[in-house]
Amino acid sequence: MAVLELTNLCKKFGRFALGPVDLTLEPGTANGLIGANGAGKTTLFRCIMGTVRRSQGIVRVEGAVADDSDGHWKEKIGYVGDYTPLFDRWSGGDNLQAVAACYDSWSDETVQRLASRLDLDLDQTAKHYSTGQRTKLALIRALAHGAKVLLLDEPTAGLDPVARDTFMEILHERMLDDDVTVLYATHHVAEIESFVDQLVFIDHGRILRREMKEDLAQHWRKVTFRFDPEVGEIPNEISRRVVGSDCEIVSSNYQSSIWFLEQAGIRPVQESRISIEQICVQLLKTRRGV
Amino acid sequence: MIQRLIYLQLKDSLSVLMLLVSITVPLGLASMAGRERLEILLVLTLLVFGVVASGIFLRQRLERRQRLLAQLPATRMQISLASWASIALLALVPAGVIFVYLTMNPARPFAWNLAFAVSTYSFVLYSLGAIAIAFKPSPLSGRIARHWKWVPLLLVAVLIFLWANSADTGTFMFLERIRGGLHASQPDWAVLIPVFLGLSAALAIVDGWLHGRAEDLSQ
Repeated sequence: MAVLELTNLCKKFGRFALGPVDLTLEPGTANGLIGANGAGKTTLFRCIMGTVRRSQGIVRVEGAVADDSDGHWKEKIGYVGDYTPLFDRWSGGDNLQAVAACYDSWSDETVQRLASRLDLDLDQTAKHYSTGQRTKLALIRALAHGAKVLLLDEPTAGLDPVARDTFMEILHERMLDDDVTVLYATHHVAEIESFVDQLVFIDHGRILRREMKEDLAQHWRKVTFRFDPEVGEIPNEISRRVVGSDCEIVSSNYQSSIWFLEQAGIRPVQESRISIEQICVQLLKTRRGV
Repeated sequence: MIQRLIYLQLKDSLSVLMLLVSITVPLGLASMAGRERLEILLVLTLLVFGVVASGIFLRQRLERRQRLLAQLPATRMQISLASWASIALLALVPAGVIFVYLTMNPARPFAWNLAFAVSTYSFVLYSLGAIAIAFKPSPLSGRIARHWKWVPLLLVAVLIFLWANSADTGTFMFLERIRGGLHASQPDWAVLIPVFLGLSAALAIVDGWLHGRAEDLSQ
């Protein structure tokens, strides 16, 4: 059973429209949500959490409809947003204790362990926390109540390199130990490249494409051949660049592209792997017509 | 869940309210030691409370409390109910101060003291709700709709004017035409209390309804 399922999710915000979004996340998977600024990543998270009213569509968490008739489903979700609101006059520890009462499965032991690993002083007043410290507190809050799904909206934006590394370590551990499902929004694909299973591309409020990382790595290649003006569009060609007498294409299925070229009597000079980050850039650029 | 949310809201406001009590109680006692001046105590208490309440709600706005609560495992209705329940409890503070002052002063019958405290409570309840709404991000979009939240606050000003004016003229709130001022007049409790409580209930219902339909609670 899918742990998070979005069906026909829509939201209209003035001139911006999200959706319709259909997305299914399987238990224990890590999913990267990739999109440019203003693509709709944050709005999608807010729609899932219900902080933004959905215009249309259904969200299901572990099979149960997640709407405003009951708030218990939020216990299964840990959310680290772009900004972490806190009771500013209280200490970090008091902030966590205050919300702890709202969750049935809160673990103080997890709080202490994570605060120590993330080097977060829980006795410090929240208003003196930096953005990174707020994010750390949000992560602790998200993990201390045993969430099944983690919605992470550019969580490492304010973290220093050491904290970012620890953050990733913790995330890996939770995925391995507790079968947690992650939806991780970021612009920096390299950050999540090592651990995601699936990449979800979003642009202009719509899910553009969903790809398993392994498939991307296996099928996407840069193919270089001698430029021939006679050659029209090549199957699975994503982008094309002419460099001197050579032509470089990025193909989403290099084998079929090469087969087509060979049929046209053109022998490819080279085919090379490209990074997941480059693939994401190509996909989003193509979509935007850049 | 509602109790937990109320506890959260009250815990956050408790220290500020203690400050209010520590200011108004000595003032009341000092006023009692000299000439009896209920009007001064009333004005001081409500003024201090209004400032303190504004401070509390302004801080909630700055801390994006709405967003914090919306992330907790509670429905919008539960959050709205908890918010109004905590307002109802906060309103007990100034009404309690006034009531303690009045009962320590043997000049009036107990029933009058009680009725006056209840009327103060109902007035503070409405005013507090209006201040809370004014400081919250508007639940509605659209240029005109965004400004509706100031209407309840304007009504508070109108009601204060009517109340103060009626003490002398004997209209609306104070039906008997007595020139002796507030402490000698006989307000029409049967009108005053239901009017304020009715307005408070209406405000709570409208606020809850709008909160349930608010487009964006993440502001």
